[in-house]
Amino acid sequence: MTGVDEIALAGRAANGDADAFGALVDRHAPMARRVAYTILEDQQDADDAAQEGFLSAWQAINRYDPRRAFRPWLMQIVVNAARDLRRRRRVRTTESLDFISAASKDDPAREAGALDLGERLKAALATLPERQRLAVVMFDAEGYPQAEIAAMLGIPEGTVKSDVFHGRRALRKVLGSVKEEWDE
Amino acid sequence: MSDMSPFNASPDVELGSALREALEAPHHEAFVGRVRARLGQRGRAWEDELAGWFWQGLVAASLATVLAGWGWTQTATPQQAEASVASELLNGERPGSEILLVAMTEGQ
Repeated sequence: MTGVDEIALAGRAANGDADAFGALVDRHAPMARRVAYTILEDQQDADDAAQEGFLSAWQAINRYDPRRAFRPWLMQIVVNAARDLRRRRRVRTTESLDFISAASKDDPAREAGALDLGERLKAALATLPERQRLAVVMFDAEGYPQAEIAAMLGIPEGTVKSDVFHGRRALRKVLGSVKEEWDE
Repeated sequence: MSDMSPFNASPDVELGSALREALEAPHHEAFVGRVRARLGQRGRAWEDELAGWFWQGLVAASLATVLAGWGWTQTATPQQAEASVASELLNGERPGSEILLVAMTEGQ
């Protein structure tokens, strides 16, 4: 789906076309759920926040400026919804096991390794301040430009660069150690 | 491995891919279905609906004003227009007309 398609869908959604907005949800749900998880560190809370973000965007679709990209506008709303939920709800301490089923692979040894890497990356992410987590996930995993991340988070671009640098350093250690184990 | 410089503006592809996989949430279809089902339950905010009408109304009002002005300039002769301005100044119907008249007569 191109940016033009998205703008056309957003235009139809602004005229009340729920199916058009549903197509946008389908497109952006994976990213919205990952970004919400990065803030909340709990899958159920992340899904609640992502859903709230989509519904808030649906209600406010008339405020979307079609001269700008749709994705950052939506993600800003999802980030706000996740932060709002975090303030209102104590994050559950029980570990969600949902992601374990998502890691199924053909090769059992590889599956264990991938699961291990995923768990370790999540654990490493949890040690970072929220802003660093968001900066590195949005930049490296989601591909947002640093200037856009800065605008979304309301911080200077230099701070985003610094957060990406420090976040990467911590996560790279984990990635490196797991790769070493795989090589052994 | 990416450049670890804080000024590096390129995403770390390998780390990004690993992060996406680690953070990938299951049951995509179920999630999308749940959100879609709630779209109909939650209507759009009335102020947003009004906002949509507000801009359309503003554009319509601006067009009407421009058209009325254009129509007046097409129907009124230059003499009528000048007479209208002069009579308003002389009659003192406009605030500040006395000051304007004094300034004009004193050549300022």
